[in-house]
Amino acid sequence: MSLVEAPDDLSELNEWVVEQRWSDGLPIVPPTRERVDEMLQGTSWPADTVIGLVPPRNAEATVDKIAANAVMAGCTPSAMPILIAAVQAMLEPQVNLYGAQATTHPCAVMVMVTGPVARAAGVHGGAGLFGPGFPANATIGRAVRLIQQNLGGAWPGETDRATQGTPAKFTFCFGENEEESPWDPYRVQRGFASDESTVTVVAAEGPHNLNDHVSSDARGVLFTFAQTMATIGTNNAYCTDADLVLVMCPEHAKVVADAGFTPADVRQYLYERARIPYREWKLGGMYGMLDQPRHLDAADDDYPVAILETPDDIHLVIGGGPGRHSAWIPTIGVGRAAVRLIAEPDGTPVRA
Amino acid sequence: MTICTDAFEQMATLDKRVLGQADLAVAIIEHPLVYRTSDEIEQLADSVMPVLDQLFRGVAP
Repeated sequence: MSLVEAPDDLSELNEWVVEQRWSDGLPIVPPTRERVDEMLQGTSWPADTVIGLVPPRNAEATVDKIAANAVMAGCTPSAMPILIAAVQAMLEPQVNLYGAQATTHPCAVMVMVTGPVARAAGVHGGAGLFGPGFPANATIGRAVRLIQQNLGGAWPGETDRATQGTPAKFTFCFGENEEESPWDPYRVQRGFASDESTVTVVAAEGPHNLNDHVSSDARGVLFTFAQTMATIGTNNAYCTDADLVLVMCPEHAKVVADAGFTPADVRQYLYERARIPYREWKLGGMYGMLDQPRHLDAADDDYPVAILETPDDIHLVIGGGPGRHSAWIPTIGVGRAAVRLIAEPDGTPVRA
Repeated sequence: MTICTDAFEQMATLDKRVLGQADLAVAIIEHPLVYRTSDEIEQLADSVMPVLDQLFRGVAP
């Protein structure tokens, strides 16, 4: 990684990094060689390891450059194993990072971290998990965005073609509230061991509220979810080769779990009920832009159009604190989630 | 051969460079398309045809 001369004065430096297009507009921590070396202490990965090429510019994401962006974002070294796994995940083909970077759709790279490494790094999954106040959430998500921008070349209005963008592009990282989950942790549902840690990424919109304050039974809660998700204003309504994310608050999860629902039951219910009547589906959104599924050729106006291909397209996580607000996270629609083990270079799990 | 609207020209230029196809011919048309009638789209297609013809034959428009 090359070194450049930069202004010593912090205010001047921050104006300068914006001019260089190395910033998201917020002040950065200067990535001096000393600070980057300190950041590299957080991982056993060699600094010159190339994790992959970040589109659309296709610059190499070396561990050293990941560390430099981590410094700029304000991370601590404990973030490094998470960031390396996040970059590995977002470069997996099914995520479609090129599309996510260049699309007009308002998507960010969502980063969800679970397991002992997440806890050790301070990734928060409780009250206010999507908001401010939690350094690990704020800085890890910001570092991922800076990597997209500084290595991938995504610059708003030019190579990041988002019509409006989303505040989630500043930072979009959160954890899981395992302690208040009635079910296995997300990573265990996905086939990982409880003592392993994972990072899940997907190109996604910011969280949308699922407000149900009144239902005391599972079907009421889940009907609210399904009715909210079945809307023609998301890509998911038309692009069904995709995943979406459901972050259930503990109180909603308890009501549903107490009724005997498993995570698979929740996914199945939403797959069956989060549907849009054909008469509404064809009124706007992306109707007619894509080849519609063949079975819709014979659909009448009442036919319920699914927003998912299979129940497993829903990634179910427990997050948040007291209260009855859950969230669903619509996605780009032309990309899927990638789940990566947070691992050492030899593939063994990183231990907290 | 690629056709793109002028709003996406910078994106196309970056793509050409990083994919090693800096000389790839791209015909640029005016953005956006969504408000145009079918007749206007047809006129736009007719107007870009000479450019495409030149690009196909390797003649800089």
